[in-house]
Amino acid sequence: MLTRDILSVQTVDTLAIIAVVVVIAGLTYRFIEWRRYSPPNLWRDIRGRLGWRHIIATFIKELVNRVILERDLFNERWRWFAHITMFWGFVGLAVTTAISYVTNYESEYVPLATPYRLLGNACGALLLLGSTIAILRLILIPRFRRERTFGDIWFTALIWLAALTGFTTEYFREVAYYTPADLSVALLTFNYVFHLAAVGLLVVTAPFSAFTHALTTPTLRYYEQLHQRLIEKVKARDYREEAQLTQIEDLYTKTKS
Amino acid sequence: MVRLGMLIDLRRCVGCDSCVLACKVEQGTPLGIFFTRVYRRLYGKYPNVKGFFLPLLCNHCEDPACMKACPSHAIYKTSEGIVVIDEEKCVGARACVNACPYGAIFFLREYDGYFDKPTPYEELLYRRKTKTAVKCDFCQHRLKQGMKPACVAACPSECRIFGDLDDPESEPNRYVRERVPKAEPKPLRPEAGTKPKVLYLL
Repeated sequence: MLTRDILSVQTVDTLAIIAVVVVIAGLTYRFIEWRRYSPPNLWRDIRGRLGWRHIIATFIKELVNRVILERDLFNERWRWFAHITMFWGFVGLAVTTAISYVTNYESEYVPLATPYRLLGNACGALLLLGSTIAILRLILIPRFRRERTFGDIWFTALIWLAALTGFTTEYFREVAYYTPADLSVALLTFNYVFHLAAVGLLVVTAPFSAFTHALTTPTLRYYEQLHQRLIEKVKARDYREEAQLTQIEDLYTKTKS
Repeated sequence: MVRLGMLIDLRRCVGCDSCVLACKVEQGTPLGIFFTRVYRRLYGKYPNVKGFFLPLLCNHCEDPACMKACPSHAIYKTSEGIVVIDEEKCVGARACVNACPYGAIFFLREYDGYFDKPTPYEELLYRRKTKTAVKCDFCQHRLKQGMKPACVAACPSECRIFGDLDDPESEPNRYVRERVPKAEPKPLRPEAGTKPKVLYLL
């Protein structure tokens, strides 16, 4: 019994493409919203006055500090640990899933000891560990319990469910492969469909749940760093303040004319 | 429902910086952090040069971009509509600093004093948690005691008028009705869509 017998590869592909379209549309909406807040001409001047060397250097610095190491959270050990395990678990799973997709498109059975499957399971364990800590923190710490939003609960619960059902699917896949009895096949089917549903919901709702902060926070932070570098380099006024002054000047000019 | 906001009559602002100093004293902000600032702008060509003063501060938006951007939900609105940062929840991600269209949020890296050593006054006032975002909170501690925000109280030309924007009898609404009935208070950067509660009279 292979997972492809439950849902065809083509069906999963189609669902994944729909999910990607929804994610791109959602992120585009977010980006447009953010562009409204951003002061005019800032990006043009960043490119023109700072140059690509600064843009790339700041990008690498921010990527290492804020994304790869998550240094902002160093002061809160548990929070940092939950973040870093979930982040690297997720990245690892994305990579191993991609490897599996490319090297084993027809979803043939692959032994558990295959390197990418081993790595995938290790990353899954990281994701499960991180999301379990996050859920426990939401439940046990009164401050988080009080302040949690629907978006937080949705995201954390789905990521935990996706990780958990990933492991149960792995387990029942092995069981169904070696002892293809009706019960083990039924359990595999149930787990696999449930896993796909959890992953699908997680991805489709990503632009609208707490998931987005994985993208928006480093992006906003990166943009702010570039803005500050620009202010320091050309001794310009803060672009947000300049935008407000220009607006009032325009209004006065129009009023007088 | 109370909706606290501020009306700033730019025709009356003389750019004296009293509000800036009052805010500094009241909030005890360190070097380089100004919750309110007054900018001067000259425009036109000689001999027709004109100028204006523009006091800036947190707009306490109804739909705050900073609140949406904060990954740790450290920014919230009080029942009176004041946008506040909970320094205990802030992790210093600085997403809000960039998201704010008004440049009204600052990152408190550390307490840089104005002198080589912190003065006793600075030691008394520098109580905020470092490595967090900080901003104007309309002097909540003063409001609780029935006082006006420090910048409003200190303004000698009374160009800052503070009150409940929903109450027709509040000071801002009375001011517009009685003194400038034809004028329409304008928000800054309306294109950002954040619905600011600091409005300007030109």
